[in-house]
Amino acid sequence: MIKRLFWLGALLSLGICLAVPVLYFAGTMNEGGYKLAFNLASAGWFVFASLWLMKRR
Amino acid sequence: MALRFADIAARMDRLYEFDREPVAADKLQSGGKFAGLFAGEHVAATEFVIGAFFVLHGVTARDLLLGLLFGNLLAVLSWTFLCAPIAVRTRLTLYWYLRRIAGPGVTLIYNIANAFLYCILAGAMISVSATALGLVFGIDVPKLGSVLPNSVGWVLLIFVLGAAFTTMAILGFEKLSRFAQVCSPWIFLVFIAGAVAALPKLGVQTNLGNLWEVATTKIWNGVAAAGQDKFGFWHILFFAWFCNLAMHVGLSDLALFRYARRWTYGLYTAFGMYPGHMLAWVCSGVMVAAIGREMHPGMMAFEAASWAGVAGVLLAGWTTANPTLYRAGLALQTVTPNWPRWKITLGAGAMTTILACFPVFFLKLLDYVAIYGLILMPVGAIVFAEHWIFPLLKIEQYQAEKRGWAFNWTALIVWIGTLAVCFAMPIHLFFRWLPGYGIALVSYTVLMASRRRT
Repeated sequence: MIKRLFWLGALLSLGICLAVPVLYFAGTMNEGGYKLAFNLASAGWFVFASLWLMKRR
Repeated sequence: MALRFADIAARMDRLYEFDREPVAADKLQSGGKFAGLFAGEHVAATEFVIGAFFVLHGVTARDLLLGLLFGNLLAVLSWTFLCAPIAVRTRLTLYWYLRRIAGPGVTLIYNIANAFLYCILAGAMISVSATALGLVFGIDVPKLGSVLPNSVGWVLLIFVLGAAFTTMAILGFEKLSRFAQVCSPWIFLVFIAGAVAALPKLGVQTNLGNLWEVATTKIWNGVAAAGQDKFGFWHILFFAWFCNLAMHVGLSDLALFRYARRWTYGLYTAFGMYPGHMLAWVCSGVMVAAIGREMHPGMMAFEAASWAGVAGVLLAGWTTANPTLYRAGLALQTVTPNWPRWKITLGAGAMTTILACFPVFFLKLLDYVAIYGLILMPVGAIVFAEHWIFPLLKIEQYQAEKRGWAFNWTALIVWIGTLAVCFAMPIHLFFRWLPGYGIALVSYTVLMASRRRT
């Protein structure tokens, strides 16, 4: 269960990393917001993906 | 001397002992594994530099896209028709197959050459990472065309990064490899995100109506930067083709494809080529155009994706320099009497760090990639000739192994001779390997056939 949550968290973070530059390009997000969201989602990816990988092993 | 060489050869064999036997049927891997492996392997720190250099070399958008499309296709076909068929027939690494063909002496020379080339490549990755870390400390990146370090700060930065990369490579190659698995999908996203976020700065409208116009006038506009050669379709096609020349035509990926069920698994390299060597290069081109065509990977990524972008450049350099340092250490282990692994990695790391201080290796990365492939290419031609052409012409195969030669002098002469001819060719560096391959193939076959008659 917890492994699946980590996996979902990692996937969601990666999804945000992909979505926010598109939103910024589309003009629905400002540059500061895009950069902040991208930084946070990147950190989220590393946390969740590492935890998921640790659980998997 | 003979005793010393026998000792080196025996030590070298022990190092590679674990993969001496052909891969057993139950160890073969699925196609999905190959797709994943290649997808993760071809998004490195150097991608930030290569795509940007295409812009600085004044390539047009049409030439870039067509060149990458066909060049990467040729690379995939080279893996599929040259490398994978030999791998699935022999199930051996290049090390062991070359040993049968050219003897342990030539294999030793190949190993040392490979180690040195790996160190330069890892050095270029450290330099690229340094451009990112330099932003944090306000250290200027050497200007385009620089050969020597531009400041004490740059040298100190390289030493800090070199020491950090080497220490981590010593402490745990396996753990870092696992960490690299975590990094690779995200690093790929840094390229995509960076390029998408750079589009508004270049004036691309949200409906993408003027995307092609911006691409052809502001990014790949056909105007080369001062001091850079003008590139066209053929330069891009050949670059994409030979970028991994040592791996496909040079056959060093026999080590991977010996685990393939079928030779057609070579086609899975497309999962690495098109995202890494097409999309990522296009993205870095967009990013460099957005910062006014300055060759500064750290700045490119920072402007496009903030500190996460800087981390992306740093991590891309680190995760790719790490296995490169490991491979260099493994190759060097053959000539370092009884040294433990840490000492060899330290030696390789020290050499790499010193080389990384010279910005010429990353600022001339395209030429270096060409030279790297060129140097190792004749070995691939020799193995190809021995494997496919010799049986057709009824020339005896594996004479070095059967007769116990330490050196197959014919192979060595063909290798060196081909390189000498290639370096004298009056054509652009990027195009030399192809006639060189033909020269190596024909001359090795003719010389070995004439040996049979005498």
